[in-house]
Amino acid sequence: MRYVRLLWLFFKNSLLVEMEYRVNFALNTLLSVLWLGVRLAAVLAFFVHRPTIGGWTLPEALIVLGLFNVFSGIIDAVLRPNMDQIVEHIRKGTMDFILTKPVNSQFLASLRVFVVWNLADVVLGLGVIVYALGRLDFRPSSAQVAVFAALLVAGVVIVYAFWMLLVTLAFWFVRVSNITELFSTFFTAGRFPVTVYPDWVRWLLTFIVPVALLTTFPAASLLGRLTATYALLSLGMAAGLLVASAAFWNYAVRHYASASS
Amino acid sequence: MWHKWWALFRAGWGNALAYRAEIFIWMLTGTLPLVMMSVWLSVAGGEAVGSFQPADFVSYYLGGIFVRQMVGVWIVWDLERAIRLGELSPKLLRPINPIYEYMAENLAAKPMRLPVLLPLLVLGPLLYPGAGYELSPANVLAFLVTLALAWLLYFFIQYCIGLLAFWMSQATSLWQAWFHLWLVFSGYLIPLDLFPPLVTRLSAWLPFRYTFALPLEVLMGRLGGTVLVHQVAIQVAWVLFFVALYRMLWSRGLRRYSAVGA
Repeated sequence: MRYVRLLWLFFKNSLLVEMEYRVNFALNTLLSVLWLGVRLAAVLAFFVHRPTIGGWTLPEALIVLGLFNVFSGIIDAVLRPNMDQIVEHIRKGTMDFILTKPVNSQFLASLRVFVVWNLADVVLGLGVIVYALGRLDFRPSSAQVAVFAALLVAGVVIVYAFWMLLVTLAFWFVRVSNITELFSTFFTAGRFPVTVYPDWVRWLLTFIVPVALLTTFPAASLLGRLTATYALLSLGMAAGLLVASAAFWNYAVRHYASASS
Repeated sequence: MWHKWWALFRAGWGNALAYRAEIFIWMLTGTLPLVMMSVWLSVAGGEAVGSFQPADFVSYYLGGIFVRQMVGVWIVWDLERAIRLGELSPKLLRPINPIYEYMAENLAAKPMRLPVLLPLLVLGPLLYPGAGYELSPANVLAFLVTLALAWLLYFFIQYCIGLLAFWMSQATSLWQAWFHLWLVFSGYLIPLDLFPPLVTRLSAWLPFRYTFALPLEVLMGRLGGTVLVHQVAIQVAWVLFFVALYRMLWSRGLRRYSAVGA
């Protein structure tokens, strides 16, 4: 409960800071709309020539794209700013201030600042999903919605834990900020249903850099296409990665020699 | 003049050398063309899509990575900061217009990218039968000319948007908006010929295509004769337009800059 209150406090702080720059707020929302337009164009182009891609029709593929937009909003609003901050803390030696606070250090270091306006991408992405379901004229059953919600939460956990694992490397290699860029390299493939890629890429995007678990899996579950095995795989990966990231963080903190010593 | 250029160029090369690891990683992150290529190949299923054979997608997107890296300019953030924080002032004291410094710095970093990029152009045709480029001497010359003009156009557009920092604090956001449009209308994400005809015709009159798709289509041998001449004419016209715009923005911006008292 204390952590929920803290989280709300951090969020409110970030919001207050950004409300001082209203023009930026408007401009960034406009950029989010433009971004979505570009992403839509890249999907629509395929459907000018073919009725399906990888076995997915246009509205079905739009659900995947909507999820891609949701996750890129979460990455830009929460993960990227905090992970950059962590690298800065380690570089400048101010990590000590985080470690000495009476709160879980991973929580405090990784969920402290929010770039609130990037959440516009999340809202727009959800809008695309609702629109696509309308086009399909498809009302998912409550069980499908429940699985979808669970996989969405699992996706958030997976992407968070994956970034944490990468950024914790900064305790040893300070110039690690580039490594998180490598995640973006793979993430960009998540905008299309994973079935359009060759087998080995599909495998890579499921088990090594689990991008498919963020977009394709939840979309398939909403459409009632995901088998229970894959749903369990996604939940298992989320739990496993979260535990691994916490363990790695604790290991790193224990071996952290601070900047002054 | 040439020794000034040479000094600027050497400084730029030193800079690029210091950041070689970063440059390499930035290049790796530009993988969206590979994703698009992979999806087109799957969608094509071995048959032609519009005027594109499956092998053409390989030539197009691999060649596209090359063209993008050669044309790319990343100065708008530096320029914006120089204007906003007054770092421009010492540059103004030098006996050479700062634009040459930015140009030299960007050009000097280009050779650094070649060892990664040239193998791409060779590998594509080797690995995928039917992929390849039109390498007759005349065509290679046309490619190099349109590529150089594409770089010049891209540079001046970005410089103009950066100069808007004299008047407003959101110049870099404006650049990002421009870049989003660029992604679609330059042909970077999707070959322009595969858009609905209306979009294809519209893109022929906008500047975006002349910073990317034109040299790439020349390299693939898709343009020839009068079409090519016509296209280069439009490209040159856009370059002249943005050079003129630059001169106007620069002289007015400088007056404003000194009026503020920096």
